[in-house]
Amino acid sequence: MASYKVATVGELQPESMKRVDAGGTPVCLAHAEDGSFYALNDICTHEEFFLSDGELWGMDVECPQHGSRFNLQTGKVTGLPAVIPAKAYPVKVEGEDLYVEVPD
Amino acid sequence: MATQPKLDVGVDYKDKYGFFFPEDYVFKAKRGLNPEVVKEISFMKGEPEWMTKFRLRSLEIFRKKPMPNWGADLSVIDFENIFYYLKPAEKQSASWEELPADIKATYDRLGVPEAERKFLAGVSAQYESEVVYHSLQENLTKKGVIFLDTDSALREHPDLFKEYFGTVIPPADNKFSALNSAVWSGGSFIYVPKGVKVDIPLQAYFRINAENMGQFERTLIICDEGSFVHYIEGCTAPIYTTDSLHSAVVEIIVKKDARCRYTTIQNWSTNVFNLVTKRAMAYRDATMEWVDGNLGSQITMKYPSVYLMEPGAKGDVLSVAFAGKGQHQDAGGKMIHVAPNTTSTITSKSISKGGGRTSYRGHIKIYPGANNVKSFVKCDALLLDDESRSDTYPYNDVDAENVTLGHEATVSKVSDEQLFYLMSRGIPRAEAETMIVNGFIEPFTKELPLEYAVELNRLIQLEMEGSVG
Amino acid sequence: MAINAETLDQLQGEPGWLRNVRRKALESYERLPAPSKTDEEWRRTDVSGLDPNKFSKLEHLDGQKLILPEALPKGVILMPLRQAAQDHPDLVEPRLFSLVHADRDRFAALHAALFTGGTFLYVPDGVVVEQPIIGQHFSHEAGTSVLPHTLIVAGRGARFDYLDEYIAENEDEAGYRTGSAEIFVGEGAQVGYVAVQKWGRNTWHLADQRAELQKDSTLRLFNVTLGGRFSKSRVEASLAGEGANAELKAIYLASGQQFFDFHTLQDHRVGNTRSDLLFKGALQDVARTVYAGLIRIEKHAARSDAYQANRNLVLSDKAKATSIPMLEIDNNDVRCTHGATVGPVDPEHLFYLRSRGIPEPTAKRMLIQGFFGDVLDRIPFEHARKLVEAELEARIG
Repeated sequence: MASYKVATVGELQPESMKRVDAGGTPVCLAHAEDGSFYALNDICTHEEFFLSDGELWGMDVECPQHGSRFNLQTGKVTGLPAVIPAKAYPVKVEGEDLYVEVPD
Repeated sequence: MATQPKLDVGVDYKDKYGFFFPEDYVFKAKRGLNPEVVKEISFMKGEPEWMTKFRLRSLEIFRKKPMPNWGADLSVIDFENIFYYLKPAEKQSASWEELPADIKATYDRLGVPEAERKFLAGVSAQYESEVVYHSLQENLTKKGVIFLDTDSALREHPDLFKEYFGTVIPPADNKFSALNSAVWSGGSFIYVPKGVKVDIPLQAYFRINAENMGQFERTLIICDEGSFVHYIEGCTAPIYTTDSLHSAVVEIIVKKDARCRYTTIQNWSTNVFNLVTKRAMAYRDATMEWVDGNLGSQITMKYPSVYLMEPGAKGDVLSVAFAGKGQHQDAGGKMIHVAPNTTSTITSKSISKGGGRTSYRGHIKIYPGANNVKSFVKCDALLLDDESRSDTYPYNDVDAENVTLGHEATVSKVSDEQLFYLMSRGIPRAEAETMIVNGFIEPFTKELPLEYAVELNRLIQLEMEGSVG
Repeated sequence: MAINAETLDQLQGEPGWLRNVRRKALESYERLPAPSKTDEEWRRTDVSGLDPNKFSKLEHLDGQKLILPEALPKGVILMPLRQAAQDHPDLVEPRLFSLVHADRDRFAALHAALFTGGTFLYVPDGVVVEQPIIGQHFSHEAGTSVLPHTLIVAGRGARFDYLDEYIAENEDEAGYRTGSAEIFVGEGAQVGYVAVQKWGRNTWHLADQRAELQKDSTLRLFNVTLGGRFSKSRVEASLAGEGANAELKAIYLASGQQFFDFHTLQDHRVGNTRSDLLFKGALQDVARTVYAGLIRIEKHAARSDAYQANRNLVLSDKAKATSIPMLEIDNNDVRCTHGATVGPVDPEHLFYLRSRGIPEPTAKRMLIQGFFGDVLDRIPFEHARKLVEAELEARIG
């Protein structure tokens, strides 16, 4: 695993998302309603649109193109038409900085 | 709005299907679509807050989504010139006798009471936007089967409803599922408990009876483990001069070892735009069958799909489309293989006549890891004259190992040999053509209950007569 | 260095009309948007990583090697296309980019603006060339554009075979490559055309081939796609005269991370025309292929006969094949069938070979060769057939 600094806490309002790059991996970084930060691979497993362009819906992110939903914590599919889970990455908050860990 | 070519369908057809009765509505929303209209619909129905929010958000999605840039030409639809909700009577009628006289007259002509007598099953007949007539045979209730109109189901079974509603087809799936999610009304809700096999087909008649009125029914069927149900949807509509929009959403969940068959015989009048999203999820060893007949309408876009979620799941689509003058039937099916050892077949039969256009559009997708999948698609198109058109657009995506996928299509005309053979036996040409067409769709008709098979053959005959001369 | 009007300065000594063609195409390139995933044709074909500005250096200005038969019959013209533009404007100008349109999309425009090298072949009425003519196009360096364009004109009753071979000197080089062809098949002519694409495995390759067939002519067109990290080919035949007959065949072998896309069109514009298409591909590793083909029978094209098939042999669970064989039929007096299959090596066949002591890799190789066998027989001429067989042998073995 490699850890990348991707953003600062101040860059993400509560209940918002942002597309960040973690060493070449496109990541959808979310500041969820529970106050925590989550990271999923940003490429929707259905038709490869960017999840970060979509909407947060409670603890789910919804793809803008066809409405597929993924759980922020696990990446599990919570609504069709996607069927393959999104990859979820650990997020660490160190002071003001946000780090995402992605596999090498 | 562009003037639409009229189809001369013959006196008999008009008499049987092309009539309408004066409107007498309790509530009639304004034309057009905005958050106020959506809130009003939700308020009139006395819905919980989450549904009002769901509708408003769906409206936003609908506004943002572009029209499909493929398939049929939908540019003539004027969304601001449509009624999005009509409620024909103040409360649900519990029995046939309580129905208003004009509605009864409509159903008499459609033969609902006969069908009811024959099937002795629950009839959930949709007149305008909401189910007004609903009877459920006692033994269904005893078995725990829920068969309601969708609005009542939201009121009476809120938890079951919320668990499944919108999980198979999210509002954002496509522009028309978003529209339906914003303004839906009526449709059927069926829950079949574990191990229960409903041995008579459940059915609903749909009918549009107001000019420029949209119908946006929403159907949700849940087959619990080991259960079986056959649902039949039949449509006829009066003939009008301006366009009408029908945009339904049908969601089906078929759990382990269960089987669901959904049969549609659709015969919208030739000014209707029929843009329907139908999707099922089939789990371990479950079977989902779509039997889909598309006649009538000006434009139909409909591709029933099955998500094969767990090993052993099986999906079937059997589809027939008939396009006459000025009509475009863009129909087909989708099979999404998520799990290994799943199988699917799609059989499509299409007939084009008098300048009509039929398109088969299908998608077979096999996800990584869905090994040992078998899928077969067969499309046959019959072109009855040289003005008509047939298209085939099959999308096949294979992402797994040890998959056997086949697609075959043929396009042909009524062969001179067949015609000559029949005519030499004294059968007039028109009748001979009808016989050949009925033979061509026989694999489809033989899957229908007898009454529907007879009805379909009759409709084909009327269509064939209608476009001669 | 960005691609702009100055890029054209690399192409000196061309006639004014060609300069204008290039300038107009460059304007189209600048005007047209990059294809996006919402365009149906590009839905599965991701070009977001292709920045042609990285490859603004043009290589291979006239660098193809033409292997000529001993002696060409009288009247046959065979020369680099840019030279032909100078020497035979009457033959070249009216035809160049009249089949392969420069404004079809951004990449077609770029090709028209910057094409380098390529062949002009003109075979006059009634002339037969017995030996095949071969054009070899080499790329020598990484980071460049190599954009050959072939223009072939077959006069009435002419008969000949032509091979375009696209060769990378270094398998690993990255760059931007095309290899487009326009083929005019005159009345009663019989033309065999083979293209073998062996560009480097890190290149972007985009090519357009389009042929127009007049009355009673026959074209046998064969594509072999082996190279490129990304390869997109459009192969189109327009059947413009009664009795025309187009045979469109292809094999592709995709391995590693290769992505291949084929879009084909069999356009029956008049009646009594015939087309027969078969594209066969084998996929290994994490390769991805897309085949999308259309048979179009236009309104008055009665008594046409069209066949289209795409067969894929998928040898890995990480490989991905997409197959979209489409029909648009506007006339009922036709015979039209198509089919697609995607399947693995038949386990029974594999078992049979293994039970005879043949190790699995060898058995798989034999089965792949068997899979391609029937279509290899359709390569129009001996020289190309041998070349392709040797190439496959080396790559599968």
